[in-house]
Amino acid sequence: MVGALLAAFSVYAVIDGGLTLYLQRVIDGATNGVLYGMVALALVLVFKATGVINFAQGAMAMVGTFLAFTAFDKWGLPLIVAIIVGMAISAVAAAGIERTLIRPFDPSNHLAITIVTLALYLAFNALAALLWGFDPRGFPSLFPTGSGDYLSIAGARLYYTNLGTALFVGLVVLVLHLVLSRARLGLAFRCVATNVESSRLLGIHIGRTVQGSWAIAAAVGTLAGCLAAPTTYLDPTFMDKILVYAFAAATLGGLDSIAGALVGGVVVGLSIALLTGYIPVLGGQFALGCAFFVIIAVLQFKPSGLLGRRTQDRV
Amino acid sequence: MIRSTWQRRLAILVVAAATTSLVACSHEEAKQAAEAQKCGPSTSKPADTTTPDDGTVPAPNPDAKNWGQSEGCVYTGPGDFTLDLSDCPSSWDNNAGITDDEIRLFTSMPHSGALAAYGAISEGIKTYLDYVNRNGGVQGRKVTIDVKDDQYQPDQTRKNVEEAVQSGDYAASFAVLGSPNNLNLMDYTDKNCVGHFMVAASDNEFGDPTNHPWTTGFGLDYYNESGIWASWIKEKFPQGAKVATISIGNALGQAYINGFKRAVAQTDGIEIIDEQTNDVTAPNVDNEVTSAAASKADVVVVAEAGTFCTQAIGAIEKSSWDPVVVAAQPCAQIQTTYAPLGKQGLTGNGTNVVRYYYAPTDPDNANKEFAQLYTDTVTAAGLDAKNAQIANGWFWAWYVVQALQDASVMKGGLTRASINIAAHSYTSTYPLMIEGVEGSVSGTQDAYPFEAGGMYTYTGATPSTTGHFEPAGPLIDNGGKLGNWEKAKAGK
Repeated sequence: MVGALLAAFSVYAVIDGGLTLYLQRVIDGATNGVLYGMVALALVLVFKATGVINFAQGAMAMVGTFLAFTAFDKWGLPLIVAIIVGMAISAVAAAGIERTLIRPFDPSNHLAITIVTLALYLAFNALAALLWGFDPRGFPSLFPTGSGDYLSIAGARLYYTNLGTALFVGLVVLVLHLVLSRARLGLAFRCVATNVESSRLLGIHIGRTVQGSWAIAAAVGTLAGCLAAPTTYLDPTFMDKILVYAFAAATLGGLDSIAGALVGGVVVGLSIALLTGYIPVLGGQFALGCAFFVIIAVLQFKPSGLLGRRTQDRV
Repeated sequence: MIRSTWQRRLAILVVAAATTSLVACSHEEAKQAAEAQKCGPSTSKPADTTTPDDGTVPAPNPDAKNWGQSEGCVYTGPGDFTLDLSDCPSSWDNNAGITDDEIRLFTSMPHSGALAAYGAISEGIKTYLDYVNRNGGVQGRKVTIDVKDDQYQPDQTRKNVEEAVQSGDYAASFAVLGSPNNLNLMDYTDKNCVGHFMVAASDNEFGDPTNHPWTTGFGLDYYNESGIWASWIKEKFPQGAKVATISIGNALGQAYINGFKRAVAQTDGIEIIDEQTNDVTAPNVDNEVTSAAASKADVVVVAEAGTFCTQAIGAIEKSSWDPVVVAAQPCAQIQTTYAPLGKQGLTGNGTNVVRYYYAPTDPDNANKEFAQLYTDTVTAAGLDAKNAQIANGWFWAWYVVQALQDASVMKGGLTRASINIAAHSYTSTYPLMIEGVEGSVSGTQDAYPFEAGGMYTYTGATPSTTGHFEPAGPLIDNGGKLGNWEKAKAGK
């Protein structure tokens, strides 16, 4: 049913604006969607281990990206090394934050932890403004970025930087999926998120598990920021804009699904590009409404998301 | 001893009549005193000084002597502008904030929060006023300005202004920053007869002397800027041009597009064939650029701000579309808009913007002496001369000094009312103006000070070095055409 609707919409879109425009919109939407998915991935990582959404995830990723930028621009490190340095510092800092600001709270008291993450969001934004100011900066890409560095697909342009970013994100998702589904770490994450007391009785170190999730999520978030910044440019608010769509992506994909985050991101990106592009009355200003609609619709009709695990409470 | 009834009654009558006349007299005196305080001429007398004639401080306009206090509470200026103080609050003082040796002003700007960088405008204003004060001040009076922080929050701006007004210590407010912040003040300043002059926001609503006689705008307003775009596009495409627009989805983008549509309606041969608006929360504007590119328009107008400027200019450069790019003033800063493009292998070369005055650090500015004065003065004050907002502060301060100079020589002398008249009637050329541009307002007939500018093309940039602006045609002067907000919003 959904497939038939999509096919019909695609035929309409090609007839309406031509194949090139359709493909370009698909490329734009998918490219943005991959970035939403990458940030959604960081949200999912923390959620899997704690059952809490970290509202500071975007701000932490922003600070991590600024650190990588500083390492590249000021310290003169090669870009890939600078990004790894940014990820490492983010991971260590996130582990420290978890130990000092999150762990003192009861892990099952989600409201208190959520409030702490909101406070962290404000603190990181203020810190970034203080250290780096508000002027936008260009961020280099890991992939070729010249105006001639693209693949032409029926006239539509797929830039190598977008293609490389998508492939790289796919690889990260695959590795994380394997680690968290096949390794003991993933099992510990799920166990802690499901029942803290039972996990403790099983010998799982709750604190270290949660700390691990914060560290990995921060590193992934910083990587997402470094991959997004070449197209969004770097300023203290750049991740806030992505985070809203990442929430929609994580909700759509399933809050506990690594692969779902990426799938959700791409679907949200494509929806925004195609709906706002082909339904003129909606216009670009509908983008946020589109994200809101996705969140409400998923929570209403399929709370577990596209790839999330359905949960049942025994009463 | 009064014994008879008629004698007692007569005595009471006489005493009552005497008391009534005394009360009436004192009431009349109080009324006259209140009216003198509200409407009367200047009550202070400054020491005699002379204005430097080296062009670094504006001199009074000779015509200003013909304006000012006309009759009773009525003050008049050119351009059919009349100010009647009768409706001002009963305790209103026409000389508040003005003494023999000082004129006190106040302003409200963000000095903390996300837009704190704009607060540097006040540092620029202060350094220029200090320079003027060291050189005799304004007709013998020093000009001081108190600055309050509002974090760009309109409610805080309102609170700051209310506190300043209630203190009774200031002659007027000047250069209050921000569109929503100033729009939130206009009714209050009208009701309380508080000067709300040369606001640091470019909305056309501030050019409405008939309905908001205590407010004046400043800078190149959105309608005049977009009118210059239309005139330039017409010159560049005499055979006609199809235009696409990409604008930010807030009041700024809407104001630019409204102004541009108005100008297009008055210009033959230009047609807007596609309009794209991005949400202010969008991560980038790729979708909008792709849609605009599909229109294959000859020209694209980019009415964006902040990072969206860089994103839009970069995305257009990367696309297969090759339109003439016209960008709004917020997209005209080389360091913030164009420099970040380099890391993507892009340049922004070919983007066209309106310029009407130079930054002192612009290599092509024509007045090197004044630029040097600016650099020396600002640097001596421990500030960064390259900060564009400090330079903007000098631009603003020049014109408030001009208005105060004019008000000082008006009929009735320097009062809050004559400052109002002067803020609606100056003609002055800031030393760093682009040749042919002057700041001029004339009452209700011409409420927009800057209506001329040149289109400049950003050029010469490489991914590793920034470029510069070069003239893209002769000066375009739409002086006096727009008039005022009533006329502008009616599309006349």
